[in-house]
Amino acid sequence: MLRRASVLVVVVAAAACSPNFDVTIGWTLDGDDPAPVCEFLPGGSVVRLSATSRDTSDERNSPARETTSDVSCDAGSGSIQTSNFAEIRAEVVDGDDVFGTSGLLSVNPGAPGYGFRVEDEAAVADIRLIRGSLTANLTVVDESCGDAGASTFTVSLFQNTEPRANALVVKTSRSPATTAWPRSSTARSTSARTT
Amino acid sequence: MATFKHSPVDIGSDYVIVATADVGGAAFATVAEGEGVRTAGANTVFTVDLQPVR
Repeated sequence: MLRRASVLVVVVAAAACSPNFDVTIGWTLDGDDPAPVCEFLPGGSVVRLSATSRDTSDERNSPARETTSDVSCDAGSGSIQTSNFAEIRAEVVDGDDVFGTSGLLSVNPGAPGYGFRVEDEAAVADIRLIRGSLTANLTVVDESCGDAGASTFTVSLFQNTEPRANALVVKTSRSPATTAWPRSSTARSTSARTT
Repeated sequence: MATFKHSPVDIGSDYVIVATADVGGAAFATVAEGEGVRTAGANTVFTVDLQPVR
């Protein structure tokens, strides 16, 4: 009997340690609806929800567990599994590049009364963008390059990293007859087109 | 129109584009120091006009 009780305690403890709530998180980008903003970010951009959760609110006696969930940037909301108490961060990422991050949101789906929250009260993370895209429209003496008959281009992009010092980000060249410029080894996402 | 696009760029940072073009054997380029822009928001769009190289 005692052995059976011990097994039961272990099973209950194991169940309590696993994330067992699906928490829905909404997000905005710089306070705006995400869909129109996401279209300017690289195509593979997702919102990564990361949760650090515990079974109790006491950090000293409750080991933390990490869970993540990737959701399409323009979806505007997504769910992530957590334990009873969790802190959640939302980030816009494209591979290893982080385009924006939110502050920490505290949720406690295992707390008494949490299940009575109405949907309108779902937690919303405002993601502050720190990176984006740069688009340069190239003209020749105020004419489009196609109209001007340009045959070759070179473009070098520099970042002003300190006073009077520019660091090369990418250098590329192409013919307007091609549809895409060569991708530089230093550029993570560079493209160009001519119409 | 030729369009050059790059990401990621740091928002709120200053960038410079130096460009050249060949039009029927004639050279065109940005001014020597390039065309500068300070990025803002998810996508910063600006025009870079090339002038004859004298």
